[in-house]
Amino acid sequence: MPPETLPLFAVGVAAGVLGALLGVGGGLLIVPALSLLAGLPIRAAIAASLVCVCAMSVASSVIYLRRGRVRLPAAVELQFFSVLGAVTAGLGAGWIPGGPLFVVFATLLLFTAGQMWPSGGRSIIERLLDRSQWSRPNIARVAAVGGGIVSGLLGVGGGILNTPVLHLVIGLPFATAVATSAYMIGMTSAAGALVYFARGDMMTAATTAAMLGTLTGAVPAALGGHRIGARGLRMAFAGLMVVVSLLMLRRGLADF
Amino acid sequence: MHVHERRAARVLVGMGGLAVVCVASGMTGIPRLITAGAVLMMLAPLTALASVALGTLRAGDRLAGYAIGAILVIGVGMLLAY
Repeated sequence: MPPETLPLFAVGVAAGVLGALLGVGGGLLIVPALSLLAGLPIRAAIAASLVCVCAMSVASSVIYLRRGRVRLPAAVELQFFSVLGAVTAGLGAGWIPGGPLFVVFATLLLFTAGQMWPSGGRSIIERLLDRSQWSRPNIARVAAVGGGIVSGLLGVGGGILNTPVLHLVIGLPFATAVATSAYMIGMTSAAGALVYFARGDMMTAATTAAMLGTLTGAVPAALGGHRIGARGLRMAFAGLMVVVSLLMLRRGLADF
Repeated sequence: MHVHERRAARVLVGMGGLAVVCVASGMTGIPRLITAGAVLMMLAPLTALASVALGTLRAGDRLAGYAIGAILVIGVGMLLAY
């Protein structure tokens, strides 16, 4: 067994727990860990990360689907708009400036993190949505296209965008939003992973060690996540959003 | 649990389970099975989406349009990325 197998397995476990509890892919954790621990080239690390997201999504979705926590109509519909946005971004990537977009999106993410933090009253976003002329499903569709564009341009995973849209805009309970997001990101990451695989960027041994770790982490987290409670999970999600937004802000300011 | 959710869960269990078996067999004996397991894991969510598309199409559900649209857009995205 190669010496990096156990650390890769451990990283996979951590990503699986994070993904199943918060509905995010965990690429933020897996990509640097794979390139630093296993010395994988960045493309191979991204490919392995995408397979891990697939594994997390498959393992947790099986449990969430059986428990009726995935809102399948919302998942499939928003997925359509989200991928549409990502493909549009792929086509227009050359014309859209990355630096300012990073800064704008990081600011938006910081604001949303504040809205995700559990508080007694209604959030600003919810009050704005109530006053809006548009229906919430239409706003969610537009947000999904926007999220897809941002995801395609900036390379951030869909989960960090899906969960707030499903929870704050559509109004799903946080646990349902997490489960639906976990199901959605499987489809997007699978498409990306297959492209990397077809290009020959996949390093199978390292990928499978991390993938098995992800499965090991995701299953117990999906089975027992409901015991943590929505308040704790929302706080964890808000914290994660702050970390992602600060990383994006740093990268955006460097690109200016 | 709704019929589409049940179908998607069945596909994910089948393909995900097979992927794990392939990887485990690959690690103990036949290395090629590791790659097969990874590919099965990647195909599982898309197959589940395809099964939802098929089921909703048969049922004449409005969701069929979005499911088929999502598959087509994902396909176009993969072609563009490749």
